[in-house]
Amino acid sequence: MHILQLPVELQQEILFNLAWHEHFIASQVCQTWASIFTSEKFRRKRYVYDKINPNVPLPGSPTNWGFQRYLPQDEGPPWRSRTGGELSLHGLLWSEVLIMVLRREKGEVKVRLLVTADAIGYLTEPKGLGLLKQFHEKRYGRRSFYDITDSPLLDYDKLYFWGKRAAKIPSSTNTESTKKGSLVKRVGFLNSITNALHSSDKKEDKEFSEKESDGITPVISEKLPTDPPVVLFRGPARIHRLKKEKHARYIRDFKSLPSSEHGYWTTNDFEEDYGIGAEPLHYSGSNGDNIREFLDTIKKHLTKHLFECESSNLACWCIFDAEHKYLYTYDQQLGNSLSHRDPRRNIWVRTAILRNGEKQYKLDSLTRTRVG
Amino acid sequence: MSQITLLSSDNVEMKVDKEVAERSILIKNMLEDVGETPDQAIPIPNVNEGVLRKVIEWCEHHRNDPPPPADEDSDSRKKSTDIEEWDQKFMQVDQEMLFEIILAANYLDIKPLLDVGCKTVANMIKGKSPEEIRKTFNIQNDFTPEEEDQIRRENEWAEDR
Repeated sequence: MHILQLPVELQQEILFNLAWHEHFIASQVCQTWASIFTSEKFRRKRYVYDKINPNVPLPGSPTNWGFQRYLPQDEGPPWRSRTGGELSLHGLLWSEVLIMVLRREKGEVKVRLLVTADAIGYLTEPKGLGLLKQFHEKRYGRRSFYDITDSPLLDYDKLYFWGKRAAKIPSSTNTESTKKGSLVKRVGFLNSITNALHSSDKKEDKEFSEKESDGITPVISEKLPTDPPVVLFRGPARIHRLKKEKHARYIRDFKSLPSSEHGYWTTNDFEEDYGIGAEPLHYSGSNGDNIREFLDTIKKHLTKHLFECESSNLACWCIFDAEHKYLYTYDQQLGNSLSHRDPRRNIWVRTAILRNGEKQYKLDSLTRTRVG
Repeated sequence: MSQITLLSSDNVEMKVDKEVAERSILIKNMLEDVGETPDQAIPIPNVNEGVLRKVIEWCEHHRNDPPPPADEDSDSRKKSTDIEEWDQKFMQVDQEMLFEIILAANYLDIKPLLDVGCKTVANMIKGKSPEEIRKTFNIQNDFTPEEEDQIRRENEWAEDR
């Protein structure tokens, strides 16, 4: 008996125990596994990191439609749930701190994502990546950087950052709850473009229109939208530039340097710069909505500023973070109450998809297999 | 306590407490359909003696475990690859036997045993490179040279920096 002789559904069962970042490794073992990891069930595991807890309160949140929220009193970063969920690709991209390391190697700009272990640790000691990496290594081992930009899996992992703010959408089907200011429990995709394009076939598409308090009539679709998503990077990007007098001792191309020059860069070799990212980066998603294109957008944005305009730069760390001063703001309209500006508010998730997926998974796991 | 007899695929009869055998949902449903304790041996055509003995050993050790919730979320079952110490020792078998146990657990519908088996294999995958995984499970690299080249390039990042 060989592992590949197991029925595919049992191989799936085994591989489903792996954390999302291990998918990228295991998918390179053989074609069967590569195929398994591109399936919907595994995509969902990378996208949704945890069992949904619908009862986590969040000030100003319309409804907790899915992903665990990050609150300041939480012990861990947003992707580490109270129940010990794994970091997901989705969690990574929508974490409070997204760190991309861009490095020029052999003439090409390589992108690596740093999987951070402790956003709080970073925020309290924002002196560079050393401490962060240290945190990470304690918890997850030494392999901190995941260059997933070339992975074929990124073509399957779609991002659903859709449309406008999803808050304050009263339900027209429940006038009582509207009066009380309750919010719609039904979730879907909200998109003004979809509104315009599909206004004629609302019924066919099972979309429903609801009057928003400000007079705009959004359409919530239960279907996955096909038009481009809009992602707003709420920077600022924190750029760490290699100091001009420093050599790129770290890169293979420079191994011909004297041995005393070999070694790793330290954070002291970099200077911090906030020059990029003050303006929001819009991701139009014009060619699709997969994660690869999303990352490419960031890469292009940054390389345009760093690697083309200033040839002396060989590397940078780009940290898109949402610090407390950004995350929390006093809402004057609500009597200076603290309002949580969760960047993930803009995401509408069709929970039916998740439920269907769970059912599908249960069917899979119930499939009986006969030996011989 | 009433006992039933199981008949392995290689025609070996094994007496086992009904309570223990009913850890298998397949057998439990079968007994419920029959309505009474059968006099004849229940054939388990897909599981040979050695594997069936291992499965019964597991069921006996876990005979008093509460049944897993019927609506248990699949994702929550997959959150941890922690395995109890006894189960870890139980699963210290060669790969052939390990996969046979997984197959038998799946066939007999013993979800907790299936979980333990799958987690054991997953733990053998964790922390390894693709090549190490291939070596561990004797998997042939069936990627084309082009795909392999891409894999090689992708592997460059895996170096600790």
